[in-house]
Amino acid sequence: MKNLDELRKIRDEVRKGLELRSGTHRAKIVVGMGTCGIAAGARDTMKALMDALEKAGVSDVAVTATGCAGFCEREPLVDVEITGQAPVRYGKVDVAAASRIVKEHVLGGKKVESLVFG
Amino acid sequence: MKDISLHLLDIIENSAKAGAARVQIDFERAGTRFEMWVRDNGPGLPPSVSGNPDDPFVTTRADRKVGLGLAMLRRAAERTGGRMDVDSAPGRGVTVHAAFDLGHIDAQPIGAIDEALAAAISSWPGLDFEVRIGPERRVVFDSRAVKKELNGIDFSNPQVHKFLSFSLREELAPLGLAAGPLPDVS
Repeated sequence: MKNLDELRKIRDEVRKGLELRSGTHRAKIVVGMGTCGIAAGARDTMKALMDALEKAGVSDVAVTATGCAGFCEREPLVDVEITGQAPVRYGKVDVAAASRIVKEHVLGGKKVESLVFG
Repeated sequence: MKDISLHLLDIIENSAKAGAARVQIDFERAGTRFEMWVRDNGPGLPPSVSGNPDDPFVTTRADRKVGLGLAMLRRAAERTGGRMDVDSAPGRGVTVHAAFDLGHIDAQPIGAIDEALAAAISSWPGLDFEVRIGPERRVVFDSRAVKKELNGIDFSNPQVHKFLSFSLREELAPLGLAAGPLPDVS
């Protein structure tokens, strides 16, 4: 396994970032990771979301997964839940769309209207 | 699914959804033979499903009576001359085993097993993962050890995800189970 010292460093940095926000997450991003989502590319979508957040040095956003929501033809589905705001669901989120959602919505605070599910 | 690593991610989702607390994943590779085992400690398949777990129309899903994951894995394995077995009993968890001949003209690529595992670990942070390789079952990843060090920081954190990806890539690349070169750590 990669060096545990490295892991402790990450832990301390993340904790510092969270303490700045008194322990609360700025947002949660949920990726549809059912069979349909995975077949439509959800793994790469999740990786793109993680990469974009990591590169921006963001440590107070969690990226997690859920199962099939019943809209298989619109996968990969991504829900953005910003604390204190109504959740927004995006459909057909490929790698490029994932980076846009992080940049414009999660970090920029503005919904990416053209990608909103509905 | 476009490669074997995505089947793996899908099978792990079954364990997560079934409420397993722990999943143990083993890989063996020798020549063109590739085998994987996904073993969970969940409730096991109910008798209504265990007779034909990969029949797409036999499923535990309540929202829609169709489940494709195991059926697709079986197809992918058998079309290389390999096989897939499911071993389960109520209360004993489920073990899915798949064997592939990667030299077969119909074999799918292995894909990025490291990325599939990193995605699974971040997707279902409540599930413990142990990854072992080779016939000697050498442990190359144990999420409980990582969790202990993280002390409350979640696997769904982007910085932690990068660490997971890097660790898994480092361990799985020598077996040809990882995608591309080691990631940039700058």
